[in-house]
Amino acid sequence: MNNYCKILLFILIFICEITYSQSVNFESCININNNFIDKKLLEDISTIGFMDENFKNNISNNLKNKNRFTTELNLKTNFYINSSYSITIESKNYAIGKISKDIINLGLFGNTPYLGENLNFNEDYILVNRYSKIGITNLIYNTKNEYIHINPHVIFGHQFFEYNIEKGEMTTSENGDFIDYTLKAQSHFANIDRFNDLNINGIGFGIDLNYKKKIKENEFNLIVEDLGIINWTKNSQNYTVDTICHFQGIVIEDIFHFNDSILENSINNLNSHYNDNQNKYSLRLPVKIKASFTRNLKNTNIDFIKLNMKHQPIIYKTPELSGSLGVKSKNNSLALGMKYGITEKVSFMIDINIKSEKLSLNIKTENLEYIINPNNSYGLNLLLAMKINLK
Amino acid sequence: MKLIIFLLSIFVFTSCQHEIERPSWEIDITAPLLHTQIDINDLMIDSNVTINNKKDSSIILIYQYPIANIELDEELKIEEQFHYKGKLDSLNLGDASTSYKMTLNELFAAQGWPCLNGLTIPIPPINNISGNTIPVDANEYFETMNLISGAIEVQIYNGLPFDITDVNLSLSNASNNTLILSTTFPIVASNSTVTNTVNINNMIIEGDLTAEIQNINIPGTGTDSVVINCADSLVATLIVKDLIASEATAYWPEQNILTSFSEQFLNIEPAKLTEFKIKSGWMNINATSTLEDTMILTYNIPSFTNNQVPFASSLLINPAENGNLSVFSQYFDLSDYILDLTGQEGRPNGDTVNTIYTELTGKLDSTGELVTLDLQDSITSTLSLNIIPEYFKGFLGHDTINFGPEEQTVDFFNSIVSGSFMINNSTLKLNIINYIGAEVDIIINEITAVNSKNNITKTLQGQILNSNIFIDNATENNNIINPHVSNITIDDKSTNLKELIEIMPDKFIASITIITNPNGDNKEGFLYYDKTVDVNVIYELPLHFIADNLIISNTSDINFDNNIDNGNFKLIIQNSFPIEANIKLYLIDKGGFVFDSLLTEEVIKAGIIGPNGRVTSPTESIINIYKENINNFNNAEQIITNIEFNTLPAQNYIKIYDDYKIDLTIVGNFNYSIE
Repeated sequence: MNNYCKILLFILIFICEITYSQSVNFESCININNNFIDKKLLEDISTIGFMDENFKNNISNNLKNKNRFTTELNLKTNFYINSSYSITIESKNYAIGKISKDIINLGLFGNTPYLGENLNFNEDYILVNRYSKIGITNLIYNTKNEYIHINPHVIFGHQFFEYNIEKGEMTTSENGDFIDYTLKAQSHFANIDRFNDLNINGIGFGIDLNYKKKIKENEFNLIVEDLGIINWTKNSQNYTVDTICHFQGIVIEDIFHFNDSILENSINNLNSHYNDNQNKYSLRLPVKIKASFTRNLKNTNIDFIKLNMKHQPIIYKTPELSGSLGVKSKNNSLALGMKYGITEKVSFMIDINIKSEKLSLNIKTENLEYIINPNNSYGLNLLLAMKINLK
Repeated sequence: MKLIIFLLSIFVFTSCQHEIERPSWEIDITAPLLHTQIDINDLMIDSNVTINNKKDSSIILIYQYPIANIELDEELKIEEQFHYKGKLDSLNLGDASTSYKMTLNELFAAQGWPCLNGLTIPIPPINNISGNTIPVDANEYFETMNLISGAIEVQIYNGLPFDITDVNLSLSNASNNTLILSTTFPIVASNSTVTNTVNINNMIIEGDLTAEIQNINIPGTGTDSVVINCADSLVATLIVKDLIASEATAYWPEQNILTSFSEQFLNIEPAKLTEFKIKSGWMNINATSTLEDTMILTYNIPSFTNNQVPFASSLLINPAENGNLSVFSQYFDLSDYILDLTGQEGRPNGDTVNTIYTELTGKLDSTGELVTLDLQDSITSTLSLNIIPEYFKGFLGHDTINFGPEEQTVDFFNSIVSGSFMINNSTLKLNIINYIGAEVDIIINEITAVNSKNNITKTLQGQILNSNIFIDNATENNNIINPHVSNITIDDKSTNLKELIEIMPDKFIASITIITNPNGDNKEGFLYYDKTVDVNVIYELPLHFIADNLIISNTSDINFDNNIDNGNFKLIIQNSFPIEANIKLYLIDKGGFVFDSLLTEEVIKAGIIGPNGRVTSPTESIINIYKENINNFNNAEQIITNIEFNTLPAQNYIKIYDDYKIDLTIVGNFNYSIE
């Protein structure tokens, strides 16, 4: 089924859903954050073409010991059948990772500047994942002050790439006459060379949880997202390596009888450290935990204080923390706040909610400084949500 | 509203995609490329050199080079011819027969009597009845034959109802009425057969004959009556048999006409051989015939076997025509045949030597044509041998083989272009390997070492020259030769050998005489063409020497075809040998001119000898080859490698031990572009 047919089918389902829905919610979120490269440098990398030594040094100087990044573009639509049920369709596209400074420097400069040094790239991880999910959001618990929504969903995997270095170290001797390396790593991917393809290469199941509790006038909210797995089809490429190697070059037993077959055998021997196969692979999705506490205030100019915590353990060393102060007017609200998270820098947030009888609108960014001083910003974040009452 | 939502959805789901331009940069990679360990075994890549250890694990180089490797080939060639000539033993003709019948009706008619069938009457006596002359046609058997011997069997069957007496029958050549036979049967009883055999020796018989019953008497039945049956008859049959002709024109039956079983003597003395295998060669059988009929000449040679199958061949020789000889010739490859030279199997006087046994048979083919043959017809055959044996077995005899003076190239010192090389306590061994199954005496007439570059010649002097060196015979088991090896040590104190080696010769000149069975031919032995006597010089060089600016040079063709990109190389050398080496590389362009010299100042440092006289830890040297030099490799056609060796400490003899080695690592440093 080509992409056009899939889009057409999607549109037909979409129109059907709208026909039977009480309301519909559109949500679009783009989030690009890292802790080692600001927008200016990123743009320079994109435009400079050839990176000279100065430029590479500039990048290197910005590196942290562990360089984390997250890039995601998520599109979500909820069709509310009634107050308890909604159908959720979501497209998720993200690349997340944490890469050690040494391996980036190795990639930028090669190993020559680091002769005699031990390069460490333990626990490096990259995940690029693209999938769609369709689920039913169900209110399973509802009391006056407390309710729980669950969203069990089916996942259709399109592409993924996962690289995980559990243990990685490398030392090149000062003379360069040997390289010692330890590498325990896995790499898995499927359909990565056709990234715009919506082919289904994996099927999975997941569940999202949303717990909300009112404590007097205050509110506590806990969200667990992406608790699930994708079973990628048997065409997934899987590479594993687990080796400790002292490489002195291709060892020639008899230099006076050197020939191509000796070279070939030596290269084959080196490659024998790597196991590769084409098989199924189960990818556990990187779970995301969000918690917030909103305290409503009275008799002050500030109507509420909201504290947030967001954590994705596979990437984040520590949770991302944020806090905001807000005012309300009728059904509308405005909140301003600060965040300290993946960028390891303070960023500013603004959250605007506008609500009418037929339409609710939410605009939010967690990188307000991007608008004020985009060149020095390490992140870009924008959430647009719109809910329309159809009845 | 719904339309707005739909359009908005389309916008949202198809937005937010853009292309990122890919950056590029260079990285600087340093990596070991090759690693190898070179010890003394690796350095001695000449197949003539072996390495041995002394008790203190210092090295002795054992250099063996052939001075003489005597291989016999044409010298052993055997060319021999055997002739066979024979007349025909006999000419046999097949048996032939013919019959003649006289009925009772004809018999009565000759008397003017009617023949009344069924009448029962007594037969009166009748005498002197004669029959008709009957032509007998024997042309289906022969046209004419001159008989040496033969016989005609005459049979008379009396089918008449009464006895007959004095029956006389004659046979004559029709052309001239020459009587061949006349025979009489005194009585032939009714319903009985009688036979007479008549010799026809030395008669000429033609195919057109006449037969005649010249007389029949009937004694009569008296008063006894007999029943007359006019068809009753008298039958005469002539059977010609046991014919041996001296000449005949006939349809000849298949028969052997020539047989020659004989032993032939090979003229290979003084050797007295019992067997040899043919390495290569051929046999030609040439035959001539005067016979006007097709003949099959069959050669069976039990003495020639290949995989235990005796040689056998049948050759078809066409009839001679118009008085000309019929000539036939055919070659046979005898490679790998084994010749048994002990003569005919089971010969009365026991096995002999140098003798092959052949069986020649000439057979007349039955062609169905009328052919004239004569016992004077003859067949000649020549069997020619041209063979080179692979081995001989038997008594080889007393013989003298002179070898040389022959030059033998020595490449051991070829690479040394200058400097000096002093050897301590070298030993020369003359290594003589006798592969012959016979005792030999070796006489060394001359061994001369020649350094052609410097025009220096040294001749070996000492008592070893011109004296007979006795070497015992080799033995053989299951065709595997166990040679007898004799090593004659010639140390540098009793000869001037050291001078021969120190001139760094590039060739030896040797002259040697080999005498087989010097004490008489008293042992059965063997000789293989390619394994006779090898004479080698073995010199044992204890690696205990001084090298003083000893330069070894080598010129090699190179062709990198611009395959070398920018990059620096580094040779990291860990040297245990107490030898310092200065490497110089010269690049030569297409015109033959040196256009770059590399590594002129680079030195591979010597391992430092410790108090125990040995190098205990290697010395590291790093030689850098920069990319500017590497680029010139792409333009080079040849490279000259000059390595100057100096042993350290200078002017001290150093020993090389078996644990000395060179660790060599080639490290590359490259810029690699990433896009």
